[in-house]
Amino acid sequence: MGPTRPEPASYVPDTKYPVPILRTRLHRPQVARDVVLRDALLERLEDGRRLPLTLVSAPAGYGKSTLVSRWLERSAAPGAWLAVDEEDADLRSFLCYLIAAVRTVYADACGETLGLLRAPDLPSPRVLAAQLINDLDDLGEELLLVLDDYHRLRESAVHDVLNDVLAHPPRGLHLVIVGRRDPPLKHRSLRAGRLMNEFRVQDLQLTESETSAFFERALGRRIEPEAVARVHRVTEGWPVGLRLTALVLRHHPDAGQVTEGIAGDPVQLQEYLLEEILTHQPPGMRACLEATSILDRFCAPLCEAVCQAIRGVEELLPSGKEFVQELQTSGLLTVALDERGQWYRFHHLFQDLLRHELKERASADDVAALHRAAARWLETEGLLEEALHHLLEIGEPGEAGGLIVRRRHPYVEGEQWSRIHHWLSLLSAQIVDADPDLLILQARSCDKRGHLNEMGESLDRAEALLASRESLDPDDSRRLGEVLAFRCLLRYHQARGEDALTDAEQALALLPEEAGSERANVMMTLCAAQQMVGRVQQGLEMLYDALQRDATKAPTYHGRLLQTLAFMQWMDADLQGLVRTARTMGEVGREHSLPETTTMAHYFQGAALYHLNELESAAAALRPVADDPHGPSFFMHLMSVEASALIHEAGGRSEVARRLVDALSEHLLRAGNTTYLPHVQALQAALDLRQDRVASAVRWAHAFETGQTTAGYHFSVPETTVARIWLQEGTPDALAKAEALLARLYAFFESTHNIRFRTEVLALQALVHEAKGDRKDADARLEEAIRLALPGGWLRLFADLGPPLVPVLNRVSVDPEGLKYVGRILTAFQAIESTDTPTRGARAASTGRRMLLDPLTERELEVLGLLAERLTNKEIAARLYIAPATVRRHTENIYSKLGVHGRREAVAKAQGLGMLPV
Amino acid sequence: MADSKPRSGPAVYRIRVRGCLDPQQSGRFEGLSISESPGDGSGPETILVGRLLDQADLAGVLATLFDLRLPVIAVECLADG
Repeated sequence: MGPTRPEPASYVPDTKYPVPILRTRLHRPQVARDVVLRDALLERLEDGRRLPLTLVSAPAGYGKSTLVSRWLERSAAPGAWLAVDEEDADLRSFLCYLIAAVRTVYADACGETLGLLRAPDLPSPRVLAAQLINDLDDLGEELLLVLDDYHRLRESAVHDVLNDVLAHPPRGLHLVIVGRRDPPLKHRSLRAGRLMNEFRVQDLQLTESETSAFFERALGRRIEPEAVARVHRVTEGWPVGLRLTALVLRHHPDAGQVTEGIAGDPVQLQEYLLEEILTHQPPGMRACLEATSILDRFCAPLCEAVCQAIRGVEELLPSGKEFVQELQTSGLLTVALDERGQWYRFHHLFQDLLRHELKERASADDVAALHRAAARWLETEGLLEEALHHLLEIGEPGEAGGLIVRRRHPYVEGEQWSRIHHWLSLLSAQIVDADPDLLILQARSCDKRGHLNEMGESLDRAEALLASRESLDPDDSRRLGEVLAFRCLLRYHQARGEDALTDAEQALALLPEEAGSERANVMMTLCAAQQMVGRVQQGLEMLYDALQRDATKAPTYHGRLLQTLAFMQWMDADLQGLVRTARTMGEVGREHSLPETTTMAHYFQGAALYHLNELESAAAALRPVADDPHGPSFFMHLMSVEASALIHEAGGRSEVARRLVDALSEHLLRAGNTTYLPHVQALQAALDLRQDRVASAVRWAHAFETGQTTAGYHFSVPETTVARIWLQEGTPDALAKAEALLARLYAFFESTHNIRFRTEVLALQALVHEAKGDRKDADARLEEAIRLALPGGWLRLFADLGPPLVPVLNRVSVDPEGLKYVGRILTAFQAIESTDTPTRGARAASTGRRMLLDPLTERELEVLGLLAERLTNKEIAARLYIAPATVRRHTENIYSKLGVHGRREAVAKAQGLGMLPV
Repeated sequence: MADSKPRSGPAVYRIRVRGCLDPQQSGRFEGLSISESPGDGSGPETILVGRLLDQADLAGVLATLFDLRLPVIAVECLADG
């Protein structure tokens, strides 16, 4: 490879963009020395820069790019350049490039739009356009934005966005669209309103005197007027035709003789001129020209790599460096793409002619060999999209798939899911379905985008492929290991803990030590599955062990271990531990710039604080994730919105809560993502229930299909909302349905050892028993719930079930520590009311007494106070001047109202409820 | 060619395509008059008539029709200017 390796700087290396950005596409082409200066055109261009649009529309070879590049060089306004490419068929990719172009002038521009472009599921063109217009308008500065070769764009979504931009032009932005034909934009109305500047063939044709001047500059000698006139007549002042003619004239002192040969139509003219040019090239140079015509841009090492695939003239080939130098000195129609003189492209028309020539002279196999050589070089330089393009062009999607498989690891490591998704979308389903590695990659991408069913399908196909092989070589067993690694994750999602463990163990047996990342994933699922089958301590110890041993190996791994820990603590109902984990996760995420980890840290902190009833801190933690539907994890966004909505609801801001949830639902429907729809609809129904729209909630509950319950690591479970709706309906039939559903859920969460949701189900069961007048069973259920929830200190879990739970809470008999806890729960009930409307807040006062179904009388309170002083009935009777029998009646009333059986219990409970000083 | 009319220049064109134009898409052809006709037996046709600036303008219209998957049956140049 030649010494002039292009600097990696030709490529924007940062991960700011979800697609790779090739710098050369952001450089305006350098203007050739022999170009004719066209001051009148430049003045007209500059005059139009206050209008929203300049359109330069003419066939190839009219010097469009050169003219506009020249304008940018001289204009009073700063200019940004984007050479459009077929790759921009993808709206995401196009807008990333557009922003990268704008940022060559204004470094921090369009941050919000870029945020939207990172979303795994891209927002609609309308949303993107609105954000882009805002961002550009915020700049408030003048900018000429050139989109060169616009005719290459065929994606209607891109046109839609630009139409919106033209309909609401941001301050200072002037769009310059350069192409071979008119764009499918609504520019005719701009033209009618004189809101655009326009340059077409008539404007760009050279006059006869310009033609003469051009030859003089290009050749360094005058050409006789008759020859100039003849050339001008045939070419009609077509600049590239003149440049080709000039190249021929270099080798012919007799211009008259040459120009007599040019006649007929433009196609014949081109062929004649090209043949003339090529026959004067040395054979090696000619072979290089034809071979490199497959490249849309090139540098010396790339040319050298491609030309090594040429057969027949090996000993005559120039080196890559010599080739590029020769292009410069001979003035062969080449455009420099950067200031350092590393990247070039042929003039489009010249490239087309050379390509045509290559197709005529070389076999399809020879051409394919050139593309392969280019792809190999591009691949080693990390220009993967370009390499894929070459392999797809020669109809080798299989090789393209192979390239993705070879190069996938760093992108998987770097969590670049939208880019991986883009690659896979370039291949046909047939190719993906035939390759276990691609299927595995697709499964990963499905997992990240929350499409679990598709994930299962990909894994099943991969397993079937591997099973059909006669014997498994080490690579195959590793692949099978990967499939099992993902399937154990799926089994876990499906709450099949034992199956997950089996798959995990098999996967670990198959995966070699060097498959560190996969083994780590399996390890994490293994820990969580241990919890699912009831060995939570073992699972946690394995995880702590890994955190101590391996966490420092790689930040992403550290982040993922912490995520697993957080999910396990959530399900284990360990809120205190969860707060600590979330804090560490936040530190790791910030320190190593891991967007997904940071997002999770916010969510978990918010979720834990919510249940600890620290609503304001919870809202602050959740806000960054809840406010951004296009963040790195949609799942985290969804759950953060859920928690935020409940906070608003608890704070009496029902309208805000509803708006948040409706926006989420709309977003899901727009993105066509149905995986999470039940969660969002359940949340809508839960709000209906609280906001006295019971009928609507009941309708939803009737329509709800209880499919397979998935592992309960989410913020909420839709089924518990269904149970609450039946409970609220309260008919015997509805209560029976609630009871049956809760029995099923209880069995599920007990068997999956999920304490967080088992507790919630128990509390709901208590309510069902209470509604049926079955106090004993109600108490037993709630006592069990309190026992489970006490170590974590869960408050909202109970408070969110509303006032019907209060009498049961007042009755339960638990130990003194439990009583204190019950007191705190009851306080959380009040907090809802006190942040609600002022009248209700005032009514709630601040004593636990209010929370009793049947409040204690003043006299009973007095008796209670004396019980706390450990006085006997007789002593109390003496103090209050009443009969001991009356004291006994009072104490019995107190016991009954508090749901206790003795004086000590009564005092402890009253203290717990805040009715007595502790 | 050299002695014929200049290639580039405004002219009125009539373009016939097979099929109907989605009203939502007709915004892409502002400035052209659009009408439908029952066609000659192989289904309805859409006829676009209007003054186009030059071949680049015409090519733009044809490319848009192509992108909308409307097969072009005929393109006629009705009058120069």
